[in-house]
Amino acid sequence: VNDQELWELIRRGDAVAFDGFYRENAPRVQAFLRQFLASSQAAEDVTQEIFTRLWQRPNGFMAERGTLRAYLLGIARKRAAEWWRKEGPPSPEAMGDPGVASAENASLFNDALSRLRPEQRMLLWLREVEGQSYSELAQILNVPVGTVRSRLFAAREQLRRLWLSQKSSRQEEP
Amino acid sequence: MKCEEAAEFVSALCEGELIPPHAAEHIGECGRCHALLNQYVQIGAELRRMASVEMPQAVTAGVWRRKPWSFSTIWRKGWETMRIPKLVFATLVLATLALGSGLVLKRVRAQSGGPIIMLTLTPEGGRAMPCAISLTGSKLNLCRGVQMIKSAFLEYDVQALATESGRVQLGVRSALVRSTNGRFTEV
Repeated sequence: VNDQELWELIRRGDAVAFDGFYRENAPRVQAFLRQFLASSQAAEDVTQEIFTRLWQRPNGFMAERGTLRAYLLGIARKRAAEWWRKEGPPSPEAMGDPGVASAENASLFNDALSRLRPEQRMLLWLREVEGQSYSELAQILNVPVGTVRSRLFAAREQLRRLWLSQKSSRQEEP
Repeated sequence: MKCEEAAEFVSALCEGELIPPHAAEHIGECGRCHALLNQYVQIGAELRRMASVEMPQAVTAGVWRRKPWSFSTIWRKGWETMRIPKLVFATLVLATLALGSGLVLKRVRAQSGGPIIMLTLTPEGGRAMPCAISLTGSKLNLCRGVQMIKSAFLEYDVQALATESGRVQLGVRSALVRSTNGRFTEV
């Protein structure tokens, strides 16, 4: 079934269809949220809340505006922002998982990524991992397509600089 | 064209886009831009590698069927009431009153005889929360909020129950709960 047909099934309360939708997409949403919330537990809770609400009140998706996954990731982005509004502004310590970030085996890339601004990390993740198109990103982030392009460049360049800086500082260590 | 000007087009190449001919020519001849392109490609690959490691193999089945979490079903305490002298509301007053349920009233502001009171509540270990309550209408006489404290959620309701001569009667209730594997338990 295509997105529109799947959405209609969900709207009609088809539990089998929704379960398939959930199993396919919940891991992706959870991994996405894990990058922006302060803990894995928070990412799991928010993911659960998103799917529970969607099952109870399936509305808002319009196939002509983008894919169902883009719609879902847009919801996840908003819920992550709401979570931080309730929690307070993110601190650099909270954004990364300190336990993971400081572990001996943590990669330099992970460290660099955790230092990126949350919105930049979100954008790169959606593009590189989720493969969202420019127009889908524009829909998810609620910005013009041209802005997506320039922000992607800025995020990519910032991450590159952070990564190189991590590498050089590691090399300088005795 | 300078490398700094070409950098955005290098990024666009990573996106699978076509770029202007003059930018393409520069990037084709410039070792520095080539290196940049390789680094951008590496970033994408590394992100996908990381995601492959972090992506949960499975999620808890059927959690979406659960009833919505409602604090109203797990209030640790019922309504507690207290009376605040209206005198306190005459001017901006700094006061500290324990409301119970782990909430402390830090600040009260209202005009004498005015229809609105402004409260500032501070839960133990949490941050201050503003709360506006109408003393005249039944629809706006409730202030409700939620705050995350450490890894638990605190939700509170404060309601103006009655105004008497010189006093306002407030109802307060709150719950502090933690989520574990999709189940909510009181802290």
